[in-house]
Amino acid sequence: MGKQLELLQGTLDVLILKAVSLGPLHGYGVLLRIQQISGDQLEIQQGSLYPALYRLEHQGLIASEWGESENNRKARFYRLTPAGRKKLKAETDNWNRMAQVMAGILNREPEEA
Amino acid sequence: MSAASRLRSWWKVLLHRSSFEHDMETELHTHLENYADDLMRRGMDRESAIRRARLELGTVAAQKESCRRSLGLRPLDDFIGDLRYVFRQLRRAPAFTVTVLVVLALGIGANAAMFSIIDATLLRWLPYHKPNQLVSLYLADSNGDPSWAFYQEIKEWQKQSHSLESVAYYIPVEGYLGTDAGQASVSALSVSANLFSVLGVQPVLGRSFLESEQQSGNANVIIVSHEVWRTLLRADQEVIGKQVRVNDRPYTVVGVMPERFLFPANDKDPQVWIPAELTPAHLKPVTDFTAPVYQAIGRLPKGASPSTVGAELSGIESRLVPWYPADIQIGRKSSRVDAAPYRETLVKESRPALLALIAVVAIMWLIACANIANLMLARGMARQREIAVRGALGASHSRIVRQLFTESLVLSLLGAIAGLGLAQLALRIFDKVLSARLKLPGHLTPNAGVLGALLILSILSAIVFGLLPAWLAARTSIDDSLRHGTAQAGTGKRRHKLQQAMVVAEVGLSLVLLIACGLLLRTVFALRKVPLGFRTDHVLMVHPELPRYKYRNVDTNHAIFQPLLQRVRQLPGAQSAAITTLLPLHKGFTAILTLDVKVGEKSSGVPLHIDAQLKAAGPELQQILGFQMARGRFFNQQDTPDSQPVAVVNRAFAQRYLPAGDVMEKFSINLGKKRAARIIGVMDDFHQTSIDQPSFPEIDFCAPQLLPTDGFYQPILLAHVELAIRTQTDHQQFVPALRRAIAEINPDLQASSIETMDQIVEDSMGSQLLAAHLLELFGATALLIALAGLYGLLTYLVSQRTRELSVRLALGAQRTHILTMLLEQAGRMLVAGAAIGLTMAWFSGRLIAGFLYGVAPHDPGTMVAVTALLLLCGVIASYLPARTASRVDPMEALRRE
Repeated sequence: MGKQLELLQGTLDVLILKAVSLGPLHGYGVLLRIQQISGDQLEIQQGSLYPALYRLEHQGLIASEWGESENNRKARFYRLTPAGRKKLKAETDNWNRMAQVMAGILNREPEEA
Repeated sequence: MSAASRLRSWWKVLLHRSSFEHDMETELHTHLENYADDLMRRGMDRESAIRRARLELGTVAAQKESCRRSLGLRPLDDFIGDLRYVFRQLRRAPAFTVTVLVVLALGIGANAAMFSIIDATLLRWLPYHKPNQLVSLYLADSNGDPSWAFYQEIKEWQKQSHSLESVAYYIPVEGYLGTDAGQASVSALSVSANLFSVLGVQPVLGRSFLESEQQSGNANVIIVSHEVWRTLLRADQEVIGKQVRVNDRPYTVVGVMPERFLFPANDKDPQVWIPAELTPAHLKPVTDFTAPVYQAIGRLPKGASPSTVGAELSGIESRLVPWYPADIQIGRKSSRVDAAPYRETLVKESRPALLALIAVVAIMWLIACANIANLMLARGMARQREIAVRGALGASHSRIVRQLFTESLVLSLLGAIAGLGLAQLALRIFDKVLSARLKLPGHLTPNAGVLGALLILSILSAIVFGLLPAWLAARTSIDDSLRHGTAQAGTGKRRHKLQQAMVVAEVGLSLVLLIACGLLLRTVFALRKVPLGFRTDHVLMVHPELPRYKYRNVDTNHAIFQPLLQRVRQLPGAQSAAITTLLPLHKGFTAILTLDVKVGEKSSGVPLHIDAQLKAAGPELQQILGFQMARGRFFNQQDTPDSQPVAVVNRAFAQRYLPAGDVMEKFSINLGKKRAARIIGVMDDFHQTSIDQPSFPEIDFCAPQLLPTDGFYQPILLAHVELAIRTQTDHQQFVPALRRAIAEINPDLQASSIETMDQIVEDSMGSQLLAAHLLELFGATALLIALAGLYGLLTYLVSQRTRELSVRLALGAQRTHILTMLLEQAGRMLVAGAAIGLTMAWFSGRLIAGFLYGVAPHDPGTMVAVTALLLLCGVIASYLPARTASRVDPMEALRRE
């Protein structure tokens, strides 16, 4: 396991959307899911998780309901709303194009310039 | 997309704030425990696992705060915090709170009541398309009094005008509507076919009139109002094409107008409209005053001004005048055509009074705001230490201003609510008077528009009286206030100046109101002292409502009214009863005779142009109204249809037209074929139309003598009849018996109205009385507020200076010296205020000149008396705190510090 990457500014929201798009999760579950998908390469500040969840719910991108966690604790489960699904798709496309463009620029060799 | 969800989520949070907080806590704790479990699973001991989890997440409180912030709840929480703080503060200072609320409620309440009245009058909703483009077109004589125009005239205006989009005309006619349900009195209007298209409103059922329906013989169609359709026609959907009867003639219903449609708009009765039938009299050139006349209403093109239209039509009219017969030319030459916005003509009489009252309530509001600003300033000073402590604890400058502003906002909103209650109460009390005076169709109640205006007004109030003190209070250096401790700090010099300036302004503004009030009281007093020239006690006036179509060829004078008078005279309690065609002090119908006659012998006589009011009256009228004869006699029982026709004139007539005093010998008036009325007496003048108008020349004929064939029968006895009755008993007992007698003798007369002469006199002073009463109320309130302001400020200043005064006393100052010093200070404010007030009153005198009678707008007596009264009240208000100050016990005051 290499050194963990710091999260890029503004990417936490889309990661949360992606995480809950795979199935309803509680807050801690979101954290674990992101770490798991990223192969433990991403370091997420726990402190910024809940404000982000509240913000997304406030914007109507995710919705929540109360349930029981796997170890029988009362927990709030978040799931994606249709608006959130749309947003996730748009953000994903956006991100892919960005990554492509960035890669294209950064991979260019000096003589080609 | 997310605005709705944001609102939803805020709403949820607001409604369930405590469960929101609780949920947030549970969720965070679950997280901590889950994480700690995982850490323990990796081999950490419980204690350090929990510590680690707490460390990574941050404290629960901080997390909650960030979550709240991500929902944008922070400003809301601040606001709620401020509100709590405000209510706590206000509860702690009940005297301050109550004073502010009462003053505000008065200031805002007066405005709310006024807004409601203006909303119902000047800004009234009218049920027409673009009602602001509608103008009334009428002939105005040199006094500006309107009269109707000939059909031929209106046609010419229509034809020649380029500045008008369209013109319609109408005239009220008698209306007894006969349906299956029976007969009912309605307001009927004979209108041009294009009226509804000029108004821009089409019937909801059926169609509007066709041009051809104005042709003779085609005019038997009718359009009914929604109210008539709903009540008298039982909301019949199939009503189009059905027959109804108007004044006992058959008409076919062709249309039903929409709900709330009214035309004319100041009519209270249910309305119907029929086409104005064009008779031969319409089409031939104007030869005399019997030519058909109408009221005209026009629509302006967008952006056109009424005055251009008036000028254009006056030009057209001046080219028409030479074609008229000579006796019509006389009046037309001095007239012009006026175009006035239709909305304005609805409130023409009350408009100046309303505008003046707007100014009055605005002044009251300013006084209230100045007063509260002063109180807030004083309070801000007393709270300097508290504010400084908050500043020291880290509250920002803007945060403190916001908190203080919240306080003024809360106060002004509470004041607005109380004011709304007051306004509602006042409107309910004055509802009857106001509706009658302003000719309003419905009741006066504050509506949404008024509430909106009120909200804006209260926010404005909060800004005016709250922001400045708040800003000043927050500006004060924290350091200073804390170091100098109590309110004794000498930092408030500038603030004192400001407070004094506000008291001066209050005094000045109140003086303006008080002077206006004084002038109006003088007016009412003067009006009451004007000798009426007749008795008003124990006199009843009956206005008989007779369906005229039933009595078209009946001599109602002899066949209906004389028998009725006979019957009335026999009623117990009745002393005398007479017919008259003019009701004293009533601005109703008057027949004015304009003619050229020759006086004296034909050879030497000079042609004389006469303007006089005509009246027919029974011989008993003199006994009933108790007027005096200057010369000769009034009519008596010997003046019968068979005897020599007689007439009397009033003194004004004799003075204007027959100064030589030969009126009784040399003057006679032709009544018809070979019948000439001889003048047998000259009456003393009495006021015919209103108390503030001088007597107009008048000629009276003896009613029992007039025959339907006489030339004057039509314009006077058919136009307007009143029955005057002198009673010996109380009106309350007499009126029911009178009603029964009227209904008995002729059931058609049941709708007749009965008024007492005293009431008629009061009504004729109505606008002045109403204005005077309202101003008394406003003036007294303004005075009270201003005095409270003065008293409050002085009390406050004295309490601020206790230490200084104590030191002075301890050093040997005389108590009387201190008293004079304080009174001098108050005196300076009072005199400055009075000077400002007098100046403003002087320049605003013009505004109320129209309401005054018997007193000049700059009447020095009133101005001096009112100013003296104000100064006296002011001195009393300042003496009390000054005396308290001069009685300070220096030892005790200094020890208490």
